[in-house]
Amino acid sequence: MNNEFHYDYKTVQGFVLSAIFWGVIGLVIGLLISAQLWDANLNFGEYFSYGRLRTLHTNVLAYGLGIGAEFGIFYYIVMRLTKRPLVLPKLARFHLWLFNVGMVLATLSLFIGMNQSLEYAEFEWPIDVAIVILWVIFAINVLGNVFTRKEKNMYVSLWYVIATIITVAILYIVNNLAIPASLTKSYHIFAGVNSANVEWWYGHNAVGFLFTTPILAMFYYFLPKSTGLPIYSHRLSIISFWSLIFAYLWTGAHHLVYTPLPDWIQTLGIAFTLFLIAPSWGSVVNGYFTVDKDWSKMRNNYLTKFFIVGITFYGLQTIQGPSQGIRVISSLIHYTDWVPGHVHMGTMGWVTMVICASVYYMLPAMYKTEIYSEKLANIHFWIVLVGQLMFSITMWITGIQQGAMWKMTNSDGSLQYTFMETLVRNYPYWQMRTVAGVIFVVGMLFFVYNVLMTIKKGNDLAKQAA
Amino acid sequence: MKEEFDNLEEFTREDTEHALPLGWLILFIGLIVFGIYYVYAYTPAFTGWSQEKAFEESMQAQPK
Repeated sequence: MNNEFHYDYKTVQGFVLSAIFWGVIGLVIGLLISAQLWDANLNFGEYFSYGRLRTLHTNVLAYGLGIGAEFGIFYYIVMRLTKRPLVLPKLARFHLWLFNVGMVLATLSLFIGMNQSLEYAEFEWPIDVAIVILWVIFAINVLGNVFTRKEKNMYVSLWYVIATIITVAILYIVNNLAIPASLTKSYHIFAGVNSANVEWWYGHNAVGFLFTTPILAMFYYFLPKSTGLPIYSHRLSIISFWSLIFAYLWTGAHHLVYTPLPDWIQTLGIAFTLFLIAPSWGSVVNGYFTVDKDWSKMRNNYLTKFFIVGITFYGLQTIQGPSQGIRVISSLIHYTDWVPGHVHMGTMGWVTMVICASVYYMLPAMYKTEIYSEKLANIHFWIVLVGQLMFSITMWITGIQQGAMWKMTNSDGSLQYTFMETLVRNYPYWQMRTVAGVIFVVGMLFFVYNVLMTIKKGNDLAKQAA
Repeated sequence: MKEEFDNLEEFTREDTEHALPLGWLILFIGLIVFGIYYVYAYTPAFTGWSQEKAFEESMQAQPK
């Protein structure tokens, strides 16, 4: 069926390029901080020291690459699923510019050391205000389209998009409530244990609603689009959606096991955390059964493996994560290097994998051309897979070693190892992790090159046609 | 060039549209039941269990 109008893809394209730009910066900083851990000489003054750059790494990748890509891909999905162009295309373009200006200011603010000292909520209050404005603009654009949609039925991806918008708004505003002391300094409105509880309610759900629901929105949309296979069960996807949304917001306390947080809150958090395996695996099962109709797609269609391997890591992540919430496991691996291993399986194996595949699908559709090279995309896939596995596995091994050494006691009850002894044992694994990071970044450079060449190809074709 | 619309039918598989795999359903209900038990067993107000007490017990159990 054809329609009367063109979709305006310029904003989507702008977000994709912005995300790639911030992604490269975040990845390079990631490599540097991974090396700083095993060679202190790589800290250059206060600005390029680990303390500053670690925060930059997480924020630039989560907000620049992650959210930047999500803004663009959401606009694309929303236009497609509401069957109409954006209601306010100029506001969306303004959103794109504000996003990039905001990212520059936010990055600089962390660089010069403005920091609320709340993990993943480091930005000081002026940046927080700007982010809230940015998010409201995004919400107006997306919800405007949803309310004026030309397609009566709402596909599950739209539900995930809406959940992301509403939940992130609530989380971000509540956790960033602070009393400003000056332009660059503020104090969290909650104190002590309350501050910690709100912070991890936010921190855990930032993962849930920036790295889970948006990526599931992409997965449910782009898997059928790129394979031509319809989703196995609509009911399963909807039940998984509502139970995921319901359970997620109760789970933050599992980050505070064995702390002064009251026992009953911890217990409740752990129970909901374990329950989350079910809705997560609902999506995993749905993905597998979708491709089960024709597994030859794994060979014939280069994007299928991105989605299937991505959802597999999502499945592993959502078993590993809830297990880590259990008290006895938490006591072994919490505060160790196991944790970055866990996080990076999610970000490198699931989030980036699905975002890249979505971009590979969108680009040819938006630029009316073919992908520049499927072969390069396949190389990208295998290299990032190797890099990610090597990263996660080395960190798991050293994390268990670290946790076990911390717990070992002599017969008189004194600790068997000093902290330094446990740290030195990390070095070989940290060095291997840097190698893994380099491998992953090389894979991502194949992706960036492929994207840029596809855009060039599309633009050349458009010029010839004109 | 005109746009082609997405057709929602390409996302819907008619034969299994309403299917819930049995194994998954068992997992789903099982985790709810387990969650209720877990909250009951490890909430101080219900059973008297507490982290503090569990820690003390584990210290006494250590061989001297």
